[in-house]
Amino acid sequence: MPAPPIPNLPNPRADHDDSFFQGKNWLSASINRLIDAITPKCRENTRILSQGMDAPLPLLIRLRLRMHFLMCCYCKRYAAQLRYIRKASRAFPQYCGNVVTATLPDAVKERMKTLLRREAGER
Amino acid sequence: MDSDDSMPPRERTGPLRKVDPDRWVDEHGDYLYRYALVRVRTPEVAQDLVQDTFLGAIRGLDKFAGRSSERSWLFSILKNKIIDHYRALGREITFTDLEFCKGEYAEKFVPEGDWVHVDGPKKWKPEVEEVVHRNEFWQTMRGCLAGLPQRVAEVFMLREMEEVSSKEICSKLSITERNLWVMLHRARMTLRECLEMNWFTDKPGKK
Repeated sequence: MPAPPIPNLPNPRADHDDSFFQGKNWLSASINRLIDAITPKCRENTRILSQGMDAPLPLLIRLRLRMHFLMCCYCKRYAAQLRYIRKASRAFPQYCGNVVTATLPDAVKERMKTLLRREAGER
Repeated sequence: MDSDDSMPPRERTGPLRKVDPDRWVDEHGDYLYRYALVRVRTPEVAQDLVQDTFLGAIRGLDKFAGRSSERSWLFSILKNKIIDHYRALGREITFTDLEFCKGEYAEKFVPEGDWVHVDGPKKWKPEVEEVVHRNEFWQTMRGCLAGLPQRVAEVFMLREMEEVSSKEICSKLSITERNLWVMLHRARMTLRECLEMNWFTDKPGKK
């Protein structure tokens, strides 16, 4: 017999949920429904958030995302992680020397020097 | 670029500088080579790029006013050589590049579009400022980047490492903005998954 599908709702709390509504159930139930109705779905948000890394988003979209983050720690994390990846990527060239330890082979260095000397001489 | 500031600064030797190719190669060659190696996948291409950088430097020596250190000047030439190299490959975006990660991790969402709660993004610890000092992190990062198709990795690196604007990437590599956004979105998504799985998830054996 196939296993029954796991129901996604009601919303189980994520570990270390630090969203605003954590613990405020009476408030969150009604507002969650409202926010859910007027903000894009999580899946769509991942696209919007990626676009937001490359071009400024319209104000209305940004407001909606903000509201969505109030009730969804996952999208909030996703947004933070895109920034995390960007920061890490920008730091990569600075630190990659520790990981990439290759050096130019001596023969290549000699070849370059010869070529460059000739080029410099012609200048 | 920030990274260059961390490198030991070179004193300039006056406005009418003598070209000293031997010193250039000895002092900067390996740094430039490693930088290029991260961005292109074959050593031979990286070597050619370094050589072209030195040649370009000799030809453009007059333009180097000594405002920046010698090494960051060389790095800026290398960056342009890398972009030129990407462009010169002249490849159209291939089917593989556009098909890459086409599902966009649909299995992580319920049909309505919400995250599957047991499988949503986890909290990432430690913070990036701390993680940059860990070599294992960079190895993971390299491994994850290597998992992207080359073209997708290129646009990702141009955008996120070289901080080239998306407009500029589009015009230099002649791709449409829409295709660029799709590729970047999927690259980010894939890297996020890869990093989470291989770095941020506690596994036995990982410190």
